Amino acid sequence: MREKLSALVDGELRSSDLHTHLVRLRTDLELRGAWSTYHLIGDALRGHFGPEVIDRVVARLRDEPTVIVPRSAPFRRLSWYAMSAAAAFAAVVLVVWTASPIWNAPEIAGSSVASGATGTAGSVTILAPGATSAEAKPPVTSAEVENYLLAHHPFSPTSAMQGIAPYARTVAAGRGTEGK
Amino acid sequence: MMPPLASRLLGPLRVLPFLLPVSAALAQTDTSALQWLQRIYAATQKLSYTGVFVYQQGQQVETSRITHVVEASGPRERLETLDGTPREIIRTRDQVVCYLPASMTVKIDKQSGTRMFPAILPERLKELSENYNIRKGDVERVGGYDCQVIILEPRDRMRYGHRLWADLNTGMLLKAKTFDEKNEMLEQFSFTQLQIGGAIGREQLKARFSRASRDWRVEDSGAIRANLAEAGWTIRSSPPGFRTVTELLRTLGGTSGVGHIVLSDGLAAVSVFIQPAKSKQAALQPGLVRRGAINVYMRPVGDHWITVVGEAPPESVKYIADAVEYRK
Repeated sequence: MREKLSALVDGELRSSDLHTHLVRLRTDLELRGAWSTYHLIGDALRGHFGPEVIDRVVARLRDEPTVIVPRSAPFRRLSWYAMSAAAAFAAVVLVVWTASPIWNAPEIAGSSVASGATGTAGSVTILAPGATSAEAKPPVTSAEVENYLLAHHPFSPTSAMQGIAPYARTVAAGRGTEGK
Repeated sequence: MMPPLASRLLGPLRVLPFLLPVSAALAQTDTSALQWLQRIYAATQKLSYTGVFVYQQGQQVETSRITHVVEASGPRERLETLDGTPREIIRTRDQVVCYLPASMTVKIDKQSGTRMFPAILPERLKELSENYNIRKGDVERVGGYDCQVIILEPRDRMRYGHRLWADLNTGMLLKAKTFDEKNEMLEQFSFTQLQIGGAIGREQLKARFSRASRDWRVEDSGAIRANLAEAGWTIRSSPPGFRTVTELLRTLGGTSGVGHIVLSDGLAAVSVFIQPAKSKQAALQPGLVRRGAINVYMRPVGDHWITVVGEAPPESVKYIADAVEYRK
């Protein structure tokens, strides 16, 4: 049936079949859907898109639920020994951070991290494993932190007790990037 | 052969010394202190007020004016910075609008359908006292008001300590301090001047930049409830006392399709954001950013980045980030 429909779209159907198929097309909803899809595909192939179609496609894409899954499954079959060794190393690094005086004195650490991207000295401490704090690349910019905080605060019980006040944090976070 | 076996058998017992002080402390929780927390929560919902407010974190101090008015349609709040570049935040029942004149940007976060801060306190008070030792302190003066001090001491290292000052008459929270495990202050919110109730002019709630911002860049964001577990994203285990409160799919800083899971211990909240990695992020390493009581930890999972943000210690934030996994 679909083949016939395709032929009909392309104008290749013999006239004897034509009437039967036009009647079926009028009554069969599924077939009608296929009919417009085929036309749409044809139009797309020929590059004949009206602006209303483009608008509708864009609108549909916007509404379509985004599937958030990694394209590649993360390290499924990697050697467990390598994994646990890496984990052990990471744990050691974390312990070293926590124990280091830098960790416990945010102000000093913040100013020692000469991070141009985050601006406001003294407010941000960046520590990344495998890198000394001075050369660590900041994992997030101040503007991103601001966005995360804006999304986070409405769901924090402290907001329920403090009202809009915790948003002062986002203001403080945003100071890093804005023009002075 | 013996030592490992013995330690394996005795392993569970090692937990006991930690459990004992907890259950002992549980009995100490002062029920009148819990009632104070409820009072604070109720006051925030029903009071109208306006005042000058200081936020301090490290050496950074931000002064703002805050106005909160309860109208028939719900509360309407406005925060306006008084120092440095002007900034303004307006919050109504279902949206938060931020005006950022320096970058000529308006950020709008719509909350429709996802009730903001779930009214956690009343029904989670018991849970709260399992995670914190809650007691009353002295009566101290803040901004001209006599306030009851309420102390929340964390029962483990997975959360911070808090000290709250609430007005004796209305229950309104005037000051809040957060402390780390060494009892050092991480941040402080405090009213320096405050008017509770009375006539508060409608113009004090008006967005100063609403007219000027008409041709500014608009960054829309919003969230809908979602089942991220169904999409394959789960949190293998949470730090003690924390549990998942809500799961959302949201737009964040112009990027749509960002997974958002909120965990809470009844007072502190931690948000997990799951988003596809941008190419420029390839060079990034997992790492932590500290900012007052807020910690942010990022790490990649497959070709996604997990960002965990919350008013919880680095240990908690990292614990949660490391527990995020994708399984299908």
